[in-house]
Amino acid sequence: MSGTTIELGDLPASPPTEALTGVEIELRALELVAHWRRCGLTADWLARFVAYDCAIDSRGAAFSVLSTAINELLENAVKFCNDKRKSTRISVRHYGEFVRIETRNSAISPHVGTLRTTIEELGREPLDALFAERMQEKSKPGSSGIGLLLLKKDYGARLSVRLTAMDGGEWDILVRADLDISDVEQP
Amino acid sequence: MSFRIARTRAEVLACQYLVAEVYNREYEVVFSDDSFDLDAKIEPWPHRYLMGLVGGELVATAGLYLHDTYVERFGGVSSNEIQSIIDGAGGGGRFSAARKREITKVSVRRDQRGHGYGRVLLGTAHSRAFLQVDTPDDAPSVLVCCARRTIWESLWHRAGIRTRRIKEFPFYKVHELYCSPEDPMDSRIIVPEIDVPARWYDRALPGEYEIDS
Repeated sequence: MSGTTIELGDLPASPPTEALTGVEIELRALELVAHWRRCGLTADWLARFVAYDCAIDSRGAAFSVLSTAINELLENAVKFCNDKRKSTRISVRHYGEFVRIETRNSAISPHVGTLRTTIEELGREPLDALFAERMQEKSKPGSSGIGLLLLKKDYGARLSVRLTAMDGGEWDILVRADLDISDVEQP
Repeated sequence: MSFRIARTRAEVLACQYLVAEVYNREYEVVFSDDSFDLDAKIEPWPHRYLMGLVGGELVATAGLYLHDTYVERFGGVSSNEIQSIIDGAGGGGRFSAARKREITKVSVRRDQRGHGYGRVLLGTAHSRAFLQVDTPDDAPSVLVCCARRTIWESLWHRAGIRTRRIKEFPFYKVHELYCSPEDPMDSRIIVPEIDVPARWYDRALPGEYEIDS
């Protein structure tokens, strides 16, 4: 089982060899769990950093879209991280035609199953209908996956995940969101 | 096991990280000291922490809200309801619903469970030295708490501390992994000098105590 890799979700964009701008941050999930505003703080900083690549009159819109998307992925990575003392990574890279946001963390089976189901549903169901369904189920236990759904529905994000089985029942999880620059600059 | 109130910033952080690790793993709760949203599972940090140490290592902690208690903010409990229970307990002359505190986020490190640390920590958290920190002698605070039924039984009542039920706690998403219809959560009052045995209430802090596990 260890070493098995599963790829799910949208076909990621093909990046040129090198990003125009790229930042990668490594955090301990526990630091964010203890002060949840650190997620927003990190997302805002990363979004503002990358938004400088956009034209001056588009930076405000780009910041808003990127901050929302980064925050969503970062919060998910932290929530689903199995050992909160282990590192969680988040990177944001601007490739000119699109921006790629990636998170990486470790998780155990129940969370992996939830993520898998969410990504599979996003690729299968009409997004508006799925959104209405999720809103009705919001009070039910467990993760609704509504944040990822909104990234895809409202910002056209192409979402994909790579799950790699590790020793001891853990999975290495990479979640990727590719956002076309046209959706970033003019939401 | 030794006990002391967290005083330095490093001690407070160590307590917060222990609570965050336990509560996030078990209940998916996250924390903030300037915002909260029980449906988003964001809870407010306590104002004070009691440290439980073994061999100099922090193994358990309990928090204390000095004001804006969880019970009054989220429990739908009125001052009149609290006051009538205080009066019924015979504490009306000394205690007031206007002065209340709350023990919260009792946490034992996962690798240190099964030694009885939780119960002795909880008892020590009911000491005057922790509960009434910075209150005048003639104006002590009453204690309000919320927990699920099995926790009242296994911690409070087994420690000999009497609890007085106010009402059922409303359901929030943050409690979906904590309580259930079979094990419901409610708000209760403890009138310190009446309900807390002297062996706990008079316990000195800082102090070192034997544990009967």
